[in-house]
Amino acid sequence: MQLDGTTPIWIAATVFLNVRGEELIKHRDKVIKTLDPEDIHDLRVASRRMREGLALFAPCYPQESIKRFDKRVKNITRFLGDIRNTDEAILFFTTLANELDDTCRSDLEPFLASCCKERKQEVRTLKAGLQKVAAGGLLDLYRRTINTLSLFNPPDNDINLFSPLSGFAKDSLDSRFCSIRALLPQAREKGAIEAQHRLRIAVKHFRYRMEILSFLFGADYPQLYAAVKNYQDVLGTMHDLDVFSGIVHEAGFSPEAEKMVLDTILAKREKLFLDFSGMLETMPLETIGERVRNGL
Amino acid sequence: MKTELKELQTLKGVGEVLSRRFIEAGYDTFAKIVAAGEDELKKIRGLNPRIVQSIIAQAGEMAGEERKSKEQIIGELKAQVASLKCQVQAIALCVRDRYIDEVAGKTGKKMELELVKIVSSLEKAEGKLGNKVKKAGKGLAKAEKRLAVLTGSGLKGVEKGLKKARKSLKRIYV
Repeated sequence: MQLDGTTPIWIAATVFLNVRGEELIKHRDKVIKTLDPEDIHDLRVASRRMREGLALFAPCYPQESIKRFDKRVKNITRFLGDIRNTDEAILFFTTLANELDDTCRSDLEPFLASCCKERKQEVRTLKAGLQKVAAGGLLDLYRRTINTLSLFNPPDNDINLFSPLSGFAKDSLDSRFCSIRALLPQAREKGAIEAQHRLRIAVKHFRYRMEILSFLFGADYPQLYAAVKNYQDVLGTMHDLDVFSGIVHEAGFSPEAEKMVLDTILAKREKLFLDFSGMLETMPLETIGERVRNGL
Repeated sequence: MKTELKELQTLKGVGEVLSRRFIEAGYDTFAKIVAAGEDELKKIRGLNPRIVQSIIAQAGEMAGEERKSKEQIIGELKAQVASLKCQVQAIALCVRDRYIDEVAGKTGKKMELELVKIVSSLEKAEGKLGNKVKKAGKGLAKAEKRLAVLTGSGLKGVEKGLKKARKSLKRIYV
């Protein structure tokens, strides 16, 4: 259904849950069939989008009902996380093995072989788990959640669910942007790994919310969306490198190989941090937030 | 058959006899004539080979117009769905304002469920508008008619009316 700024909040919530719910179920069924890494990624993204939508439209539904469904969707996201992380690690260390010399390669190759073995085990667990999810009545739960809309007795009395979506959207984007603004000063510091990780998550939530409400934006949307996505990509790769460093510490490489791999990872991270700092100069996040607000 | 005959006769160079021969050969629409191509059309008895190209060109234009008009109709149907959405919102507002005490309890829950269901049905129907345009037009018109009277109805009447409107919409997507 075509939605716009004048669409009442409750209708937008119903339409959103309908569309995203179908999408989630479709992706889940596809993964059960193929177990393809790309399909796994798509299902993970679909589950995250659904969760962001649930957070956005939570004022339309009783808290318990939303919580129950959100918990189930969160399980899917987490469940797929392990295999996705292994896929990312295999991809990264395979590229690294080609970049580095033989000293490292003799350590990296058996490590990669163990990663592949681990992946096979994870595929088995995933298959069994997804079938459990399929049998667990995800579809029923999602339909039941849609049907619990509290239109006449909303859980949050400050929001009028009959009012147009535009004002509600502005406030909800503002609330997401507040977390970004709060984390920015700390994340600018090179060694503030935790703050950068939290900023990545805040940017991701903001991006998903932008996506959900994309139909309300004007011609500026593609540019703003691309800018937010760039931030998320850079911060995401920085976080991946931090995770890979941790893996290397525990992998039991020879001291020489460990040092070489860690130095390479550190160099890559430093370059990414420079990119991130550059982005903060050329396209500051504060400006993006302001333009998003004005674009609505 | 009669409609197809008349339609084909709008092509310059095609009369009563030729239009019948076109249909007998399986070319009963402009699109099929275009798809058949020059060589196949030349096989039709009595058709002057010199006008085949012109017929294909004319049929191509007509087929384009047919497509355009279908798109236009779908556009109109979408606008109708949007107007039904406004009608549903008006009904919900009316219920809230007129029956503020009644909708606080179980009755309100029932009404909410009906409202959610009708929005979901509208959503599903909109997804199928392109498949059966005529059926969709009829279904939407019927739903519109049923919803139009509900702002003045009592609670039971609204519930019943929403159910009936949903039934009309269901015919579009089932």
